[in-house]
Amino acid sequence: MTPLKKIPPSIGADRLAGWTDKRMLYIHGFQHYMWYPNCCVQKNIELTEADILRKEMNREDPDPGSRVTFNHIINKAVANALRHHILFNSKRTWRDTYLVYPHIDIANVVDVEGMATQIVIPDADKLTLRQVAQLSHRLVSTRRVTLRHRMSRLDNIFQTLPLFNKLAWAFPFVNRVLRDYSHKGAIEHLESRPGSFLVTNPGTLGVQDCKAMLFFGFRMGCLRVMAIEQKAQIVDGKLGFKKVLPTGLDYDQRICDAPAAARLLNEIQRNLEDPRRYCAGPVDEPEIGSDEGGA
Amino acid sequence: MNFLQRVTKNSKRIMRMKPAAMVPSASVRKLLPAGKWSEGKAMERLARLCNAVLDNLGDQQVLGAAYDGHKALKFAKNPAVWVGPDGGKTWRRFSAPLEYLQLEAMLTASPTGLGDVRDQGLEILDLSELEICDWKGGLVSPQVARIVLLAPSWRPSASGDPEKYFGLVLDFDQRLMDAKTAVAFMDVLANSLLEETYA
Repeated sequence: MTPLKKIPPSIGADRLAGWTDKRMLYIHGFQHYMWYPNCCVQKNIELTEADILRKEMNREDPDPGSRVTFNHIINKAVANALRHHILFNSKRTWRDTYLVYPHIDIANVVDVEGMATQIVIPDADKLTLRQVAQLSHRLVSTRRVTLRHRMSRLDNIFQTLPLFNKLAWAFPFVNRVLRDYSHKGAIEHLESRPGSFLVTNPGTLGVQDCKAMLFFGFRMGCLRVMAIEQKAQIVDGKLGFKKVLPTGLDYDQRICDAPAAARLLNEIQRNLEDPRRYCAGPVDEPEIGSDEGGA
Repeated sequence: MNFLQRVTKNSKRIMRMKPAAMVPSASVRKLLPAGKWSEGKAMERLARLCNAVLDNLGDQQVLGAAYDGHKALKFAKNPAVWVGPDGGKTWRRFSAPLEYLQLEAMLTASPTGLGDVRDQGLEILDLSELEICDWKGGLVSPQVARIVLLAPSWRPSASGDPEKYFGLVLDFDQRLMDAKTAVAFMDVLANSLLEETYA
């Protein structure tokens, strides 16, 4: 048996060649019919209160494992807002219908080991801000370990078996068919909790503006957070500048129109501009069967 | 149906499928200083914008066309616009200049309805009252183009004094128009809004 080649610790040319092969797997997985028309509405959100809250909470608990960042406040604000706009917490199915998820699971795109991957914060609307922060830190560090392990295993296979590269395009289809045929796979698929709404923050990389492209079968909406900017405003008749967070909401144009998206974005803005009231407090659990009901 | 038949059928179906009716769309945005055209109620502002578009649509009739089937265009006899105030809750078509009271009456005639099926005519979407400061839109057939009015923002003018600017976005089909032509149309529209007096 041929011994496995040792993977070079740094990313060299040979390793990059392997990466392109792996990229092909995803490229073949995306087809034209998966695209759907999406529009985007954008707002500038003021961050003064969120900044004060973040600093206060970090002073109370300086543990790096539970440090609160803007991302966590944004996640919490989005989860709170989605409780009142359940249409955006859904996905389109193969039968041309929309499936509204019963849980609000916020997916975050994070940069781990130079590769974009996702972590999912389940039931983010039922967690406190501190819990969101702790869970997020834990998930990122776990993903870093597991991803490194998985990628090194894939690298081994790609380097030792050239035929594997040639057949890589077939994996998504084979996986789909096997999943349909396997009872266990179907149960696992139903039980798995993919993020029901995506929050991505290219602003951490300095991106000032971009447009997200949504694909079939994933999510109905995506919140993009861009780099913080200085915007002009009038204070006492004089021109001043304030720090704002440009935020865009991409949504499926077939499911809703601009006002519904604007209302969701307005609610996210309300949550973010008054985080002490909406995000920092204890989570109120509506009693089942009570007259008031849930959100 | 056995495993192999199912795989073959699936792959054939996937290969046969055509892209959805998405239009390869691009957008250009222009800042338009507030002035006489933006004074008064939101509906007045929208009526002036519609009238200015109707005045200038004759030179770019492709913007007022609509797809009729696969890659076939149908042009309107007279320049026409579809207006959607409040973010496009209601859509109404007209091809003659209107005063804002007439426009308001027309739009409130059936407030709960979704409007007619949109065919030929340039879409004008008003997002200025929803405080939306930017927009990136995708077009779906039969749409060919769309104009979006965005919320105002304060910016320093050439003299250094604060000035209010509205955002104006044109989404257009890249197969029918290039960015240069789109920008030229926006320039003409902006100039006529700032210079002409619309009812």
